[in-house]
Amino acid sequence: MAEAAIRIEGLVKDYPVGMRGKRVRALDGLSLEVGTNQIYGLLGPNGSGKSTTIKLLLGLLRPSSGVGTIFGKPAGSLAARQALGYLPESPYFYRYLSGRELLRYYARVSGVARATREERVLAVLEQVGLSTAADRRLSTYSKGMLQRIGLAQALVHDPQILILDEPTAGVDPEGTAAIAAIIRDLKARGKTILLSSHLLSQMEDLCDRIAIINRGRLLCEGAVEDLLRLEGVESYQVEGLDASGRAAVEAGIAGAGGSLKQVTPARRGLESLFSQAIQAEEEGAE
Amino acid sequence: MERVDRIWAVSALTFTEAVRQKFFYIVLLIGGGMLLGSGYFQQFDFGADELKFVIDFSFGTLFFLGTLLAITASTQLFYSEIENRTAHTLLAKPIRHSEFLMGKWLGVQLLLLLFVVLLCGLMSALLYLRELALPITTAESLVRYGELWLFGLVQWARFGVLCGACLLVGSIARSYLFTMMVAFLFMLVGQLQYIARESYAEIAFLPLRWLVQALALLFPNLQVFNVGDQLGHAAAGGLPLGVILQILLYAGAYTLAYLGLAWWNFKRREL
Repeated sequence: MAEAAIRIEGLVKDYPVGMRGKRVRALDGLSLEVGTNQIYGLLGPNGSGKSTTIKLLLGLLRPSSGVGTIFGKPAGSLAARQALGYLPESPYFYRYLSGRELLRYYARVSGVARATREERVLAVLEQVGLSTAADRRLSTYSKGMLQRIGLAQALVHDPQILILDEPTAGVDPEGTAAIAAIIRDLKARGKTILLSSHLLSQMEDLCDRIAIINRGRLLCEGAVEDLLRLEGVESYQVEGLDASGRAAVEAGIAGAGGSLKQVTPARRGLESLFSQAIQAEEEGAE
Repeated sequence: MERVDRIWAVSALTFTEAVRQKFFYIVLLIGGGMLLGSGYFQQFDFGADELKFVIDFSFGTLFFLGTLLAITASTQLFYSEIENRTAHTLLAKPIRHSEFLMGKWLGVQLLLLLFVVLLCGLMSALLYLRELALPITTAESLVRYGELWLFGLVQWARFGVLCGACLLVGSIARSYLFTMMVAFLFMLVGQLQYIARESYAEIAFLPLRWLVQALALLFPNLQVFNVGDQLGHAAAGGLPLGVILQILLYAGAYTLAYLGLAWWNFKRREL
Protein backbone atom coordinates (compact mmCIF):
# COMPACT_ATOMS: atom_id res chain seq x y z
CA MET A 1 0.00 0.00 0.00
CA ALA A 2 1.36 3.41 -0.94
CA GLU A 3 2.32 5.63 1.95
CA ALA A 4 -0.02 8.54 2.58
CA ALA A 5 1.41 11.93 1.75
CA ILE A 6 -0.15 13.41 4.88
CA ARG A 7 -1.48 11.46 7.81
CA ILE A 8 -3.11 12.98 10.87
CA GLU A 9 -4.11 10.74 13.74
CA GLY A 10 -6.17 11.89 16.71
CA LEU A 11 -4.81 15.40 16.61
CA VAL A 12 -5.78 17.52 19.61
CA LYS A 13 -4.75 21.10 20.10
CA ASP A 14 -5.62 23.15 23.16
CA TYR A 15 -4.75 26.84 23.42
CA PRO A 16 -4.27 28.41 26.82
CA VAL A 17 -6.58 31.35 27.43
CA GLY A 18 -5.88 33.93 30.10
CA MET A 19 -3.83 33.48 33.25
CA ARG A 20 -5.96 30.88 35.06
CA GLY A 21 -4.85 27.89 33.05
CA LYS A 22 -8.11 27.79 31.10
CA ARG A 23 -7.81 26.16 27.70
CA VAL A 24 -9.76 26.28 24.47
CA ARG A 25 -9.83 23.22 22.26
CA ALA A 26 -9.11 24.11 18.63
CA LEU A 27 -8.71 20.56 17.37
CA ASP A 28 -10.55 17.66 18.90
CA GLY A 29 -9.16 14.32 17.82
CA LEU A 30 -8.89 15.07 14.11
CA SER A 31 -7.82 12.21 11.87
CA LEU A 32 -7.23 12.54 8.13
CA GLU A 33 -5.26 10.91 5.40
CA VAL A 34 -4.23 12.61 2.17
CA GLY A 35 -3.08 10.25 -0.55
CA THR A 36 -0.35 11.13 -3.00
CA ASN A 37 -1.20 13.17 -6.09
CA GLN A 38 -4.54 14.27 -4.70
CA ILE A 39 -6.02 17.70 -4.41
CA TYR A 40 -7.46 17.57 -0.95
CA GLY A 41 -9.78 20.30 0.28
CA LEU A 42 -10.04 21.30 3.89
CA LEU A 43 -13.31 23.09 4.53
CA GLY A 44 -14.75 24.72 7.56
CA PRO A 45 -16.04 28.03 8.86
CA ASN A 46 -13.74 30.54 10.52
CA GLY A 47 -12.30 29.14 13.73
CA SER A 48 -13.04 25.56 12.75
CA GLY A 49 -9.43 24.47 13.07
CA LYS A 50 -8.20 24.59 9.45
CA SER A 51 -5.31 26.95 10.08
CA THR A 52 -4.40 25.13 13.29
CA THR A 53 -4.25 21.87 11.35
CA ILE A 54 -2.01 23.45 8.74
CA LYS A 55 0.27 25.03 11.34
CA LEU A 56 0.59 21.71 13.12
CA LEU A 57 1.61 20.03 9.88
CA LEU A 58 4.24 22.73 9.33
CA GLY A 59 5.58 22.48 12.86
CA LEU A 60 4.62 26.07 13.68
CA LEU A 61 2.44 24.68 16.47
CA ARG A 62 2.87 21.61 18.64
CA PRO A 63 -0.06 19.24 19.19
CA SER A 64 -1.46 18.66 22.67
CA SER A 65 -1.80 15.05 21.62
CA GLY A 66 -1.96 12.98 18.46
CA VAL A 67 0.46 12.88 15.57
CA GLY A 68 0.86 14.25 12.09
CA THR A 69 3.23 12.78 9.54
CA ILE A 70 4.43 13.82 6.10
CA PHE A 71 5.43 10.79 4.06
CA GLY A 72 5.88 8.98 7.36
CA LYS A 73 8.14 11.65 8.85
CA PRO A 74 7.04 13.59 11.93
CA ALA A 75 5.30 16.84 11.02
CA GLY A 76 7.53 19.82 11.64
CA SER A 77 10.77 17.87 11.29
CA LEU A 78 13.33 19.15 8.84
CA ALA A 79 12.80 16.14 6.57
CA ALA A 80 9.04 16.70 6.60
CA ARG A 81 9.42 20.40 5.80
CA GLN A 82 11.76 19.53 2.92
CA ALA A 83 8.79 17.78 1.31
CA LEU A 84 6.41 20.69 1.92
CA GLY A 85 5.70 23.97 0.21
CA TYR A 86 3.46 26.42 2.03
CA LEU A 87 1.45 29.39 0.89
CA PRO A 88 0.02 31.21 3.93
CA GLU A 89 -3.27 33.06 3.92
CA SER A 90 -2.77 36.69 2.82
CA PRO A 91 0.98 36.26 2.56
CA TYR A 92 3.22 39.16 3.42
CA PHE A 93 6.60 39.24 1.78
CA TYR A 94 9.57 41.57 1.91
CA ARG A 95 8.08 44.21 -0.34
CA TYR A 96 11.35 45.92 -1.15
CA LEU A 97 12.58 42.78 -2.94
CA SER A 98 11.77 41.96 -6.53
CA GLY A 99 9.97 38.73 -7.33
CA ARG A 100 13.21 37.19 -8.53
CA GLU A 101 15.14 38.25 -5.40
CA LEU A 102 12.43 36.85 -3.16
CA LEU A 103 12.54 33.49 -4.92
CA ARG A 104 16.36 33.42 -4.79
CA TYR A 105 16.16 34.02 -1.06
CA TYR A 106 13.65 31.25 -0.43
CA ALA A 107 15.53 28.91 -2.75
CA ARG A 108 18.71 29.54 -0.79
CA VAL A 109 16.98 29.06 2.54
CA SER A 110 15.39 25.86 1.26
CA GLY A 111 18.78 24.46 0.32
CA VAL A 112 18.42 24.56 -3.47
CA ALA A 113 21.94 24.01 -4.82
CA ARG A 114 23.68 27.12 -6.12
CA ALA A 115 24.23 25.49 -9.52
CA THR A 116 20.52 24.97 -10.13
CA ARG A 117 19.12 27.90 -8.17
CA GLU A 118 18.74 30.37 -11.03
CA GLU A 119 17.27 27.72 -13.27
CA ARG A 120 14.78 26.77 -10.59
CA VAL A 121 13.80 30.41 -9.97
CA LEU A 122 13.19 30.94 -13.66
CA ALA A 123 11.15 27.74 -13.90
CA VAL A 124 8.77 28.68 -11.09
CA LEU A 125 8.44 32.24 -12.34
CA GLU A 126 7.41 30.77 -15.67
CA GLN A 127 5.09 28.30 -13.99
CA VAL A 128 3.14 31.00 -12.15
CA GLY A 129 3.20 33.38 -15.12
CA LEU A 130 5.34 36.09 -13.56
CA SER A 131 8.38 36.00 -15.83
CA THR A 132 7.75 39.48 -17.18
CA ALA A 133 7.25 40.95 -13.69
CA ALA A 134 10.22 39.13 -12.15
CA ASP A 135 12.34 42.24 -11.66
CA ARG A 136 9.59 44.47 -10.35
CA ARG A 137 9.45 45.18 -6.65
CA LEU A 138 6.80 43.26 -4.75
CA SER A 139 5.36 46.57 -3.54
CA THR A 140 4.12 47.13 -7.10
CA TYR A 141 2.46 43.72 -7.39
CA SER A 142 -1.31 43.34 -7.39
CA LYS A 143 -3.02 41.04 -4.89
CA GLY A 144 -3.28 38.29 -7.50
CA MET A 145 0.40 38.63 -8.39
CA LEU A 146 1.36 38.45 -4.72
CA GLN A 147 -0.60 35.23 -4.38
CA ARG A 148 1.17 33.85 -7.44
CA ILE A 149 4.62 34.83 -6.17
CA GLY A 150 3.56 33.22 -2.90
CA LEU A 151 2.79 30.08 -4.81
CA ALA A 152 6.15 30.34 -6.56
CA GLN A 153 8.04 30.53 -3.25
CA ALA A 154 6.15 27.47 -2.07
CA LEU A 155 7.27 25.64 -5.21
CA VAL A 156 10.84 26.87 -5.43
CA HIS A 157 12.46 23.85 -3.77
CA ASP A 158 10.26 21.47 -5.76
CA PRO A 159 8.37 19.94 -2.80
CA GLN A 160 6.11 16.92 -3.24
CA ILE A 161 3.31 18.40 -1.16
CA LEU A 162 1.83 21.87 -1.29
CA ILE A 163 -0.21 23.34 1.51
CA LEU A 164 -2.20 26.30 0.26
CA ASP A 165 -4.14 28.32 2.81
CA GLU A 166 -6.82 30.38 1.06
CA PRO A 167 -4.76 30.75 -2.12
CA THR A 168 -7.41 32.87 -3.83
CA ALA A 169 -8.44 35.07 -0.90
CA GLY A 170 -9.05 38.61 -2.15
CA VAL A 171 -8.12 37.75 -5.72
CA ASP A 172 -10.37 38.77 -8.63
CA PRO A 173 -12.09 36.07 -10.76
CA GLU A 174 -9.41 36.23 -13.44
CA GLY A 175 -6.63 35.79 -10.91
CA THR A 176 -8.63 33.06 -9.19
CA ALA A 177 -8.95 31.18 -12.47
CA ALA A 178 -5.21 31.56 -13.07
CA ILE A 179 -4.39 30.14 -9.64
CA ALA A 180 -6.84 27.29 -10.15
CA ALA A 181 -5.11 26.49 -13.46
CA ILE A 182 -1.73 26.42 -11.70
CA ILE A 183 -3.11 24.06 -9.05
CA ARG A 184 -4.43 21.71 -11.74
CA ASP A 185 -1.08 21.86 -13.48
CA LEU A 186 0.65 20.95 -10.21
CA LYS A 187 -1.54 17.91 -9.84
CA ALA A 188 -0.69 16.95 -13.41
CA ARG A 189 2.98 17.17 -12.40
CA GLY A 190 2.38 14.63 -9.65
CA LYS A 191 2.16 16.97 -6.67
CA THR A 192 -0.13 16.48 -3.69
CA ILE A 193 -2.07 19.57 -2.71
CA LEU A 194 -3.80 20.30 0.57
CA LEU A 195 -6.08 23.23 -0.04
CA SER A 196 -7.99 25.33 2.42
CA SER A 197 -10.52 27.74 0.99
CA HIS A 198 -13.87 29.37 1.55
CA LEU A 199 -14.67 29.34 -2.15
CA LEU A 200 -16.80 26.24 -2.16
CA SER A 201 -17.56 26.19 -5.87
CA GLN A 202 -13.85 26.37 -6.59
CA MET A 203 -13.14 23.58 -4.12
CA GLU A 204 -15.84 21.48 -5.71
CA ASP A 205 -14.24 22.08 -9.06
CA LEU A 206 -10.67 21.43 -8.01
CA CYS A 207 -10.64 18.85 -5.27
CA ASP A 208 -10.52 15.08 -5.53
CA ARG A 209 -11.40 14.69 -1.88
CA ILE A 210 -12.62 17.03 0.81
CA ALA A 211 -12.93 17.07 4.56
CA ILE A 212 -15.33 19.35 6.39
CA ILE A 213 -14.34 20.27 9.90
CA ASN A 214 -16.03 22.35 12.53
CA ARG A 215 -15.02 23.08 16.11
CA GLY A 216 -11.95 20.98 15.52
CA ARG A 217 -13.92 17.86 14.64
CA LEU A 218 -14.20 16.05 11.36
CA LEU A 219 -17.78 16.16 10.10
CA CYS A 220 -17.39 14.30 6.85
CA GLU A 221 -14.64 13.23 4.52
CA GLY A 222 -14.41 11.54 1.17
CA ALA A 223 -14.25 11.86 -2.60
CA VAL A 224 -16.13 14.91 -3.82
CA GLU A 225 -18.29 12.86 -6.19
CA ASP A 226 -19.30 10.44 -3.43
CA LEU A 227 -20.10 13.15 -0.95
CA LEU A 228 -22.19 15.18 -3.34
CA ARG A 229 -24.18 12.28 -4.74
CA LEU A 230 -27.78 12.04 -3.51
CA GLU A 231 -28.45 8.36 -2.97
CA GLY A 232 -31.45 6.89 -4.85
CA VAL A 233 -32.05 9.97 -6.94
CA GLU A 234 -31.14 10.32 -10.60
CA SER A 235 -31.23 13.30 -12.88
CA TYR A 236 -32.10 13.19 -16.55
CA GLN A 237 -30.91 15.54 -19.24
CA VAL A 238 -33.49 15.46 -21.96
CA GLU A 239 -33.23 17.21 -25.31
CA GLY A 240 -35.86 18.17 -27.90
CA LEU A 241 -38.90 18.27 -25.69
CA ASP A 242 -41.67 20.81 -26.06
CA ALA A 243 -44.09 21.75 -23.29
CA SER A 244 -46.39 18.80 -23.86
CA GLY A 245 -43.51 16.42 -24.12
CA ARG A 246 -42.18 17.61 -20.78
CA ALA A 247 -45.55 16.75 -19.24
CA ALA A 248 -45.37 13.28 -20.64
CA VAL A 249 -41.86 12.57 -19.38
CA GLU A 250 -43.11 10.55 -16.47
CA ALA A 251 -45.08 8.38 -18.82
CA GLY A 252 -42.07 7.60 -20.86
CA ILE A 253 -39.33 9.72 -22.44
CA ALA A 254 -39.13 7.62 -25.53
CA GLY A 255 -42.87 7.79 -26.12
CA ALA A 256 -42.76 11.60 -26.00
CA GLY A 257 -40.35 11.75 -28.91
CA GLY A 258 -37.26 12.95 -27.04
CA SER A 259 -33.86 11.33 -27.00
CA LEU A 260 -32.26 10.42 -23.73
CA LYS A 261 -28.82 11.99 -23.71
CA GLN A 262 -27.44 11.23 -20.29
CA VAL A 263 -28.44 9.71 -17.01
CA THR A 264 -26.30 10.73 -14.06
CA PRO A 265 -26.67 10.52 -10.32
CA ALA A 266 -28.35 13.68 -9.09
CA ARG A 267 -26.05 15.77 -6.96
CA ARG A 268 -26.30 18.73 -4.71
CA GLY A 269 -23.78 21.55 -4.66
CA LEU A 270 -20.85 21.62 -2.29
CA GLU A 271 -22.26 24.82 -0.87
CA SER A 272 -25.37 22.92 0.16
CA LEU A 273 -23.42 20.03 1.67
CA PHE A 274 -21.25 22.46 3.59
CA SER A 275 -24.18 24.41 5.00
CA GLN A 276 -26.03 21.26 6.02
CA ALA A 277 -23.00 19.75 7.68
CA ILE A 278 -22.28 22.89 9.68
CA GLN A 279 -25.94 23.38 10.58
CA ALA A 280 -26.28 19.81 11.81
CA GLU A 281 -23.16 20.20 13.92
CA GLU A 282 -24.36 23.48 15.38
CA GLU A 283 -27.77 21.99 16.24
CA GLY A 284 -26.11 18.97 17.82
CA ALA A 285 -23.92 21.21 19.93
CA GLU A 286 -26.83 23.23 21.31
CA MET B 1 27.84 24.03 4.14
CA GLU B 2 24.10 24.30 3.44
CA ARG B 3 23.63 25.37 7.02
CA VAL B 4 26.11 28.23 6.63
CA ASP B 5 24.46 29.27 3.38
CA ARG B 6 21.04 29.44 5.05
CA ILE B 7 22.41 31.53 7.92
CA TRP B 8 24.08 33.87 5.41
CA ALA B 9 20.86 34.16 3.43
CA VAL B 10 18.90 35.23 6.53
CA SER B 11 21.65 37.58 7.71
CA ALA B 12 22.01 39.22 4.29
CA LEU B 13 18.27 39.88 4.14
CA THR B 14 18.25 41.15 7.72
CA PHE B 15 21.10 43.50 6.90
CA THR B 16 19.36 44.70 3.72
CA GLU B 17 16.19 45.35 5.68
CA ALA B 18 18.12 47.17 8.40
CA VAL B 19 19.98 49.54 6.08
CA ARG B 20 16.70 50.41 4.40
CA GLN B 21 15.28 51.74 7.64
CA LYS B 22 15.33 55.46 8.31
CA PHE B 23 16.20 54.85 11.94
CA PHE B 24 19.67 53.64 11.00
CA TYR B 25 20.38 56.81 9.04
CA ILE B 26 18.97 59.01 11.78
CA VAL B 27 21.28 57.37 14.35
CA LEU B 28 24.16 57.63 11.90
CA LEU B 29 23.43 61.30 11.23
CA ILE B 30 23.17 62.10 14.93
CA GLY B 31 26.43 60.22 15.56
CA GLY B 32 28.19 61.99 12.69
CA GLY B 33 26.78 65.33 13.82
CA MET B 34 27.97 64.79 17.38
CA LEU B 35 31.47 63.84 16.25
CA LEU B 36 31.66 66.82 13.90
CA GLY B 37 30.32 69.03 16.67
CA SER B 38 33.10 67.91 18.97
CA GLY B 39 35.47 69.94 16.75
CA TYR B 40 34.00 73.08 18.29
CA PHE B 41 35.47 72.16 21.65
CA GLN B 42 38.63 73.99 20.53
CA GLN B 43 37.06 77.19 21.83
CA PHE B 44 37.62 75.87 25.35
CA ASP B 45 41.35 75.93 24.62
CA PHE B 46 42.16 72.59 26.20
CA GLY B 47 45.46 72.39 24.35
CA ALA B 48 46.61 68.79 24.19
CA ASP B 49 43.83 67.74 26.57
CA GLU B 50 41.31 68.81 24.01
CA LEU B 51 42.13 65.68 22.04
CA LYS B 52 41.47 63.50 25.07
CA PHE B 53 38.17 65.28 25.55
CA VAL B 54 37.21 64.74 21.92
CA ILE B 55 38.21 61.06 22.15
CA ASP B 56 36.11 60.55 25.29
CA PHE B 57 33.18 62.37 23.70
CA SER B 58 33.47 60.27 20.53
CA PHE B 59 33.71 57.04 22.53
CA GLY B 60 30.63 58.10 24.47
CA THR B 61 28.77 58.78 21.22
CA LEU B 62 29.70 55.35 19.83
CA PHE B 63 28.78 53.68 23.12
CA PHE B 64 25.42 55.38 23.53
CA LEU B 65 24.15 55.40 19.94
CA GLY B 66 25.51 51.91 19.27
CA THR B 67 23.62 50.59 22.29
CA LEU B 68 20.45 52.28 21.09
CA LEU B 69 20.89 50.87 17.60
CA ALA B 70 21.78 47.38 18.83
CA ILE B 71 18.68 47.05 21.00
CA THR B 72 16.27 48.73 18.60
CA ALA B 73 17.48 47.00 15.44
CA SER B 74 17.72 43.49 16.87
CA THR B 75 14.31 43.74 18.53
CA GLN B 76 12.61 45.32 15.55
CA LEU B 77 14.13 43.05 12.90
CA PHE B 78 13.29 39.93 14.88
CA TYR B 79 9.82 41.05 15.77
CA SER B 80 8.85 42.26 12.31
CA GLU B 81 9.30 38.68 11.06
CA ILE B 82 6.80 37.45 13.63
CA GLU B 83 4.31 40.29 13.38
CA ASN B 84 4.30 40.29 9.57
CA ARG B 85 4.15 36.50 9.62
CA THR B 86 7.11 36.24 7.26
CA ALA B 87 8.54 33.94 9.95
CA HIS B 88 5.68 31.50 9.21
CA THR B 89 6.65 31.25 5.56
CA LEU B 90 10.33 31.05 6.41
CA LEU B 91 10.08 28.47 9.19
CA ALA B 92 7.84 26.30 7.03
CA LYS B 93 10.94 25.86 4.87
CA PRO B 94 13.61 23.33 5.79
CA ILE B 95 15.50 25.78 7.98
CA ARG B 96 16.34 25.24 11.62
CA HIS B 97 15.20 27.70 14.28
CA SER B 98 18.83 28.05 15.31
CA GLU B 99 19.79 29.05 11.75
CA PHE B 100 17.04 31.66 11.67
CA LEU B 101 18.19 33.15 14.99
CA MET B 102 21.85 33.07 14.03
CA GLY B 103 21.00 34.75 10.73
CA LYS B 104 19.08 37.49 12.51
CA TRP B 105 21.88 38.04 15.01
CA LEU B 106 24.54 38.10 12.31
CA GLY B 107 22.51 40.50 10.14
CA VAL B 108 22.21 42.98 13.01
CA GLN B 109 25.91 42.52 13.82
CA LEU B 110 26.75 43.39 10.22
CA LEU B 111 24.69 46.55 10.55
CA LEU B 112 26.46 47.43 13.79
CA LEU B 113 29.82 46.68 12.20
CA LEU B 114 29.00 49.18 9.48
CA PHE B 115 27.98 51.69 12.13
CA VAL B 116 31.18 51.15 14.15
CA VAL B 117 33.40 51.33 11.05
CA LEU B 118 31.76 54.56 9.85
CA LEU B 119 31.95 56.22 13.25
CA CYS B 120 35.52 55.06 13.97
CA GLY B 121 36.56 56.22 10.48
CA LEU B 122 35.00 59.62 11.02
CA MET B 123 36.47 59.79 14.53
CA SER B 124 39.96 59.01 13.21
CA ALA B 125 39.72 61.56 10.39
CA LEU B 126 38.45 64.32 12.68
CA LEU B 127 41.11 63.64 15.33
CA TYR B 128 43.83 63.59 12.68
CA LEU B 129 42.72 66.97 11.30
CA ARG B 130 42.38 68.39 14.80
CA GLU B 131 45.79 67.12 15.80
CA LEU B 132 47.33 68.78 12.73
CA ALA B 133 45.75 72.05 13.69
CA LEU B 134 46.92 72.00 17.31
CA PRO B 135 50.22 73.62 18.27
CA ILE B 136 51.72 70.42 19.63
CA THR B 137 55.47 70.02 19.56
CA THR B 138 55.85 66.35 20.55
CA ALA B 139 57.32 64.10 17.88
CA GLU B 140 54.80 61.32 18.45
CA SER B 141 51.11 61.55 17.78
CA LEU B 142 48.99 62.07 20.87
CA VAL B 143 46.17 60.04 19.36
CA ARG B 144 46.63 56.28 19.11
CA TYR B 145 44.56 55.64 16.05
CA GLY B 146 44.79 51.87 16.24
CA GLU B 147 43.29 52.00 19.72
CA LEU B 148 40.29 53.95 18.47
CA TRP B 149 39.50 50.92 16.33
CA LEU B 150 40.20 48.58 19.23
CA PHE B 151 37.63 50.49 21.23
CA GLY B 152 35.23 50.07 18.31
CA LEU B 153 35.92 46.33 18.28
CA VAL B 154 35.26 46.00 22.02
CA GLN B 155 32.00 47.95 21.68
CA TRP B 156 30.98 45.81 18.72
CA ALA B 157 31.48 42.74 20.90
CA ARG B 158 29.36 44.42 23.58
CA PHE B 159 26.63 45.11 21.04
CA GLY B 160 26.76 41.41 20.16
CA VAL B 161 25.94 40.53 23.77
CA LEU B 162 23.06 43.01 23.77
CA CYS B 163 21.69 41.62 20.49
CA GLY B 164 21.89 38.09 21.90
CA ALA B 165 20.01 39.27 24.99
CA CYS B 166 17.37 41.00 22.83
CA LEU B 167 16.81 37.80 20.85
CA LEU B 168 16.52 35.88 24.12
CA VAL B 169 13.88 38.28 25.44
CA GLY B 170 12.18 38.37 22.03
CA SER B 171 12.03 34.57 21.93
CA ILE B 172 9.77 34.66 24.99
CA ALA B 173 8.01 38.01 24.79
CA ARG B 174 4.74 38.55 22.98
CA SER B 175 5.14 42.21 22.16
CA TYR B 176 7.74 44.42 20.56
CA LEU B 177 7.41 47.11 23.23
CA PHE B 178 7.88 44.64 26.07
CA THR B 179 11.00 43.25 24.42
CA MET B 180 12.46 46.73 23.99
CA MET B 181 11.75 47.71 27.58
CA VAL B 182 13.19 44.50 29.04
CA ALA B 183 16.23 44.81 26.76
CA PHE B 184 16.94 48.34 28.00
CA LEU B 185 16.46 47.18 31.60
CA PHE B 186 18.84 44.32 30.91
CA MET B 187 21.41 46.79 29.65
CA LEU B 188 20.94 48.91 32.76
CA VAL B 189 21.34 45.91 35.06
CA GLY B 190 24.49 44.93 33.16
CA GLN B 191 25.93 48.42 33.48
CA LEU B 192 25.21 48.59 37.21
CA GLN B 193 26.14 45.04 37.98
CA TYR B 194 29.44 46.02 39.50
CA ILE B 195 27.49 47.38 42.49
CA ALA B 196 25.93 43.96 43.05
CA ARG B 197 29.34 42.34 42.68
CA GLU B 198 30.76 44.60 45.34
CA SER B 199 27.80 43.95 47.62
CA TYR B 200 27.69 40.19 47.51
CA ALA B 201 31.31 40.01 48.52
CA GLU B 202 30.14 41.31 51.87
CA ILE B 203 27.35 38.77 52.41
CA ALA B 204 28.39 36.57 55.31
CA PHE B 205 25.74 33.86 54.87
CA LEU B 206 27.39 31.59 52.30
CA PRO B 207 24.32 30.01 50.60
CA LEU B 208 22.86 33.47 50.07
CA ARG B 209 26.14 34.73 48.69
CA TRP B 210 26.29 31.79 46.25
CA LEU B 211 22.71 32.42 45.23
CA VAL B 212 23.42 36.08 44.54
CA GLN B 213 26.62 35.13 42.71
CA ALA B 214 24.69 32.65 40.57
CA LEU B 215 22.05 35.26 39.80
CA ALA B 216 24.76 37.78 38.92
CA LEU B 217 26.11 35.26 36.41
CA LEU B 218 22.90 35.57 34.40
CA PHE B 219 23.82 39.13 33.53
CA PRO B 220 27.12 40.16 32.03
CA ASN B 221 29.11 42.82 33.77
CA LEU B 222 28.96 45.44 31.03
CA GLN B 223 31.50 47.58 32.85
CA VAL B 224 34.07 45.16 31.46
CA PHE B 225 33.60 46.88 28.11
CA ASN B 226 34.18 50.37 29.47
CA VAL B 227 37.76 50.57 28.28
CA GLY B 228 37.59 54.10 26.88
CA ASP B 229 39.78 55.53 29.64
CA GLN B 230 42.64 53.21 28.70
CA LEU B 231 42.49 53.64 24.96
CA GLY B 232 42.94 56.26 22.28
CA HIS B 233 45.25 58.80 23.87
CA ALA B 234 48.99 58.65 24.50
CA ALA B 235 48.37 59.47 28.16
CA ALA B 236 45.75 56.73 28.55
CA GLY B 237 48.20 53.88 28.98
CA GLY B 238 46.63 51.43 26.58
CA LEU B 239 45.41 47.89 27.18
CA PRO B 240 47.44 44.69 26.74
CA LEU B 241 46.24 42.53 23.86
CA GLY B 242 45.58 39.72 26.31
CA VAL B 243 43.01 41.84 28.14
CA ILE B 244 41.29 42.74 24.88
CA LEU B 245 41.13 39.05 24.00
CA GLN B 246 39.70 38.23 27.40
CA ILE B 247 37.00 40.86 26.93
CA LEU B 248 36.17 39.46 23.49
CA LEU B 249 35.99 35.93 24.91
CA TYR B 250 33.76 37.17 27.73
CA ALA B 251 31.46 38.76 25.15
CA GLY B 252 31.54 35.64 22.99
CA ALA B 253 30.64 33.38 25.91
CA TYR B 254 27.64 35.51 26.93
CA THR B 255 26.50 35.94 23.32
CA LEU B 256 26.63 32.19 22.72
CA ALA B 257 24.84 31.50 25.99
CA TYR B 258 22.06 33.97 25.17
CA LEU B 259 21.69 32.71 21.62
CA GLY B 260 21.56 29.16 22.94
CA LEU B 261 18.80 30.06 25.40
CA ALA B 262 16.99 32.07 22.71
CA TRP B 263 17.10 29.02 20.43
CA TRP B 264 15.81 26.76 23.21
CA ASN B 265 12.86 29.09 23.81
CA PHE B 266 12.17 29.91 20.19
CA LYS B 267 12.11 26.24 19.18
CA ARG B 268 9.30 25.70 21.66
CA ARG B 269 7.49 28.88 20.76
CA GLU B 270 4.23 28.52 18.89
CA LEU B 271 3.73 30.94 16.02
